[in-house]
Amino acid sequence: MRKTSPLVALFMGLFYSVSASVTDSLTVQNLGETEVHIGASITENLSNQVVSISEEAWVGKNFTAIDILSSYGGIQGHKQGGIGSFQSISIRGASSRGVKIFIDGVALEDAGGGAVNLGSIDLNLVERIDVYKGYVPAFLGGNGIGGAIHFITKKSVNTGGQFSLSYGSHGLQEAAVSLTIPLISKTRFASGLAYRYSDNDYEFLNRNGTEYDTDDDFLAKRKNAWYLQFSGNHTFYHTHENGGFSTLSFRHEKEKGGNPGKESNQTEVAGFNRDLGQLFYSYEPIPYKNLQFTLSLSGQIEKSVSHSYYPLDKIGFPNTYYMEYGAIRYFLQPKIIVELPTDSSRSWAASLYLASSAERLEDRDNNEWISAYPWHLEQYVVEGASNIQWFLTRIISLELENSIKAYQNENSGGEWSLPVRNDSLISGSNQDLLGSGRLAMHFGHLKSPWKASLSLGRYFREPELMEQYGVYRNVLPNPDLKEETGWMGEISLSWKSASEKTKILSTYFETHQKNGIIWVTNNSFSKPFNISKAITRGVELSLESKPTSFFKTRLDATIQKALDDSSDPLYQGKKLPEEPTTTYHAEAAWLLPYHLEWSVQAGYRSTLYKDRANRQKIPAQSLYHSYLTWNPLKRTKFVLSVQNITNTEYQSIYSSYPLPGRTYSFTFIQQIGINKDENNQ
Amino acid sequence: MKTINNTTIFLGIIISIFIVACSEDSPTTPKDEIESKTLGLVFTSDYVNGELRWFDIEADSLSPNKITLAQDSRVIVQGSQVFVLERFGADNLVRLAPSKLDQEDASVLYQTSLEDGSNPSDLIALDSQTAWLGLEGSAHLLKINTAVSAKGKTLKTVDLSKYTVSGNISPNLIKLSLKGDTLLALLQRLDMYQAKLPGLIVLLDANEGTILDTIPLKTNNPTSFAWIENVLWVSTQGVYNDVYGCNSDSLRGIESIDFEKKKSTVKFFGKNLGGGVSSFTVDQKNKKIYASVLGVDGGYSLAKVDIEKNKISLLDEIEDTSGSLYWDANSDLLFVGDRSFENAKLWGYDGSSFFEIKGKDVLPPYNMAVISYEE
Repeated sequence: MRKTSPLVALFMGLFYSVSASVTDSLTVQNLGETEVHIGASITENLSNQVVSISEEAWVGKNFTAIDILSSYGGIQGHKQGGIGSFQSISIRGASSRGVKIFIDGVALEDAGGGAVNLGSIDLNLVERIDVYKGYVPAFLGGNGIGGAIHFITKKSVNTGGQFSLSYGSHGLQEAAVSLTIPLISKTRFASGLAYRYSDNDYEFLNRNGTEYDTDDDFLAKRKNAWYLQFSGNHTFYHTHENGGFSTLSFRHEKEKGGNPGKESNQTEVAGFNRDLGQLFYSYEPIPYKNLQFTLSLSGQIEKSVSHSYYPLDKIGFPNTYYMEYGAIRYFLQPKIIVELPTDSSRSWAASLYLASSAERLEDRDNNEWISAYPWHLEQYVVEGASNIQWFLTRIISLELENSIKAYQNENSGGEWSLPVRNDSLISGSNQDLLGSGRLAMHFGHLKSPWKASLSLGRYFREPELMEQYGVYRNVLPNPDLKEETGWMGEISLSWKSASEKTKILSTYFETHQKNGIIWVTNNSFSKPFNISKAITRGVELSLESKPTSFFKTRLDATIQKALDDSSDPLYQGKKLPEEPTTTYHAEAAWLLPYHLEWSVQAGYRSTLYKDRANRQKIPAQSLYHSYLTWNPLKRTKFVLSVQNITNTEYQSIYSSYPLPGRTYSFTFIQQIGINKDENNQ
Repeated sequence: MKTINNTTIFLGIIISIFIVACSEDSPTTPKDEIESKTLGLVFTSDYVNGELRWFDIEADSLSPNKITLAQDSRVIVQGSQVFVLERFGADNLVRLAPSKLDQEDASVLYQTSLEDGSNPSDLIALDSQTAWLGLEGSAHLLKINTAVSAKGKTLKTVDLSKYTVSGNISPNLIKLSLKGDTLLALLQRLDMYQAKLPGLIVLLDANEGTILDTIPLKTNNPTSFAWIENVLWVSTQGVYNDVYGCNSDSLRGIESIDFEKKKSTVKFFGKNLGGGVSSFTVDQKNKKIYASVLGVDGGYSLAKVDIEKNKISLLDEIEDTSGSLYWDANSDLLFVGDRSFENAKLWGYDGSSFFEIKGKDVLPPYNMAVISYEE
């Protein structure tokens, strides 16, 4: 506690001093907006619980999605290593799969067991991240215990684009280009390509797996942790003669890398390959009697295969074969979104989401030599979500969300094999019907400086096929996962200055979750398991301000109590794994002479435990980062980034995935042609 | 010359007798004290963390103190020596000082890292300096120096690779035993963790490690062996069914081996026991075997086998015996690790009833041993 007090004092001091210094005469801060319609929510403007993060938060700073997201209140990030390593988040204690992840409105369902791997999202292609805490808007399908993260890729409406190059510690190389060009009348094409690579060969203290013998400790470099990703997003936009608007996009990702072992048992050749292709089409006709329709169809093929060779890697069953294991997934989803916004004649608004999907999962392995038999699984889903909002008075509105999902699983039977498990899949089918609901009240006019909200929702989540049977980097599936349910309640109060240069938000939240997912790490694999009951209560505080033209700051804090409430006396009352009691984040940026901008970030996280029994204790941690940006020309930018300045790191010897310490990177960014920022200026 | 009178002599004799008499019943000075202690050592694990706890054999509570070890470990007592084998993934040999268990770090005499993936499975001491160390993940059997100064240094390596099933790394040595000058190694001979072949016992010269002979078992997947008089009893689990249970059939059970004839016979079948035997412990004096039986549905029950009466009885008070069994011949007590879901416990059994050995914030029992030592 004594260690953290200066940071807490700094945080509180900045919080109050900045609050007091704000004047209402300041101009509007540009938070970054997406011009292309991605399916907006009619409730976004009313809820306090939407955070929009624009690309300036990560450009040139060598951040992963986890680094960005976990700096906001109520969000905890979990990492297994460096760039490309398995990374997930939890929101307000709701486990990682309880948080839905979308890219341009399409849900990600990768093979990362109990969570989408956020480490595989290259932010160089992302323009904005919308974070919905505690709920999922209807246009994204509703129903999410923890909320939703929506990544919106770069879609500049004007011609032009951006080119960037980065080089940094541990062989980090990044290159990205995004470009928008008009093709023919009323048609334009936006394309983004990104490449990144890292050796991830950072140094760490290898304790040789002997906690009690420090004589055999030595400094080692991370082996077989390299990561390569090539991804892209290519979109045609076309405005039809009848006023309708079409979007056709193709997204692709190729990832490969090593499957590194733990600190005392590093691997040599184990690795993974993942390929993803996604085709998406949507059509938005002109509104009919104020009704806005969006019809879309998305198809996805994803293959994720891992491999290992026991004599060199020492992971899995001891054998002399080169082993490949994994699955391929085919997914098709038609979707309709209907929105009815308010107008002068109506005091209510509504939106409706209807979707169905068909999914098939097949084995992709070389396990014939152990008499494994082909298998496939199919899932059919019909789902709907609705949101209705009544403006009861000028300052009070009531919001009701519902969603329903029916699914049927078909299992072909067969023999299923992983490095540490062989299973006979028993053929058959099962189905279920699940429902969720949320009631919220919002106080305050749209343009009022004060707003308050309270809401209570009940949610569900059924295990996805990929998390039950797919594989990912250092992650194994668990076919025994159960359906999750949960309650989330919140009370929030926010204030913003008339100029919107300063915003303050405080939220009390409470999450009750049944069968939420935790990660259990043994040897070189992590695997998801359910916790029968968990309760998280806490408070979030947030302040964003730009009190002067040359200074801006953001302060976030979370104080929470996240407890295991299962009936097992060993775990009951213990802290939930990876959930600290307090986190603080403070960042500030100063505009300096000579076109320089200097920004610093400080983060503090209290003690946490890696395991349910609270044995694997990770001490409190303070991290400091610094960035220097130089704009010598209007369209040219250089960024020097130093992360984890104090080289802080600590891992329990029993869950030891070494993390990188201090890292450096240098980025060059060149704007091409006219872009939206210039328009705004 | 001064004379000593009768009264003085009498008083002297009385005082001498008194002193001698008192000295037999009175406590000695701490310097001369030699106290014998018997502790039950319980390795506990929730498959994520591992901890060694202990209890006075005559008490009914586990120590609040603990020694943190890898989640998959096995505690072994050999004479007055305590070893812990940290298994696959950790692959360490640990030696503990039983008298210093309360001082966590100080109790660890050494923690030696073995070859990655070697998966140490059993250790049997030849004397206070040397022992054989069995490795499940390697085709090598090691003779090691167990002295604190040597820290488990390898003295001899025996190659057992000729018993490895093709395509696998090792013949899966899981237990060791001594009979005079003969060392016995129990091999599972798995093929990708599937028990496709019957188990095998390899006989070796206990000093040199020379392979002398083999005894093939009748059934697959042996899990333990132990002597009762001159008969070697071997438990076998057989293959798993679809739900990771074992069918009640004739393909598993408890075999007895005529050591002279090198011949094995299944004496108690799985169909009578209720499944495959995942582990057992023997009461040599009363000629009884206590077996943890993995049933059809994947549950672990407790069976008592009277080998003289050829009778099997089920002790159904314990829900899940997968936390292992240990018979302590000195106290005539059976200790049972009960890993029931959300209700794990350590039990003692005195032949007629079970009593709980309680502990606070204790992980589920995983395996155990009893140590008697003097301090």
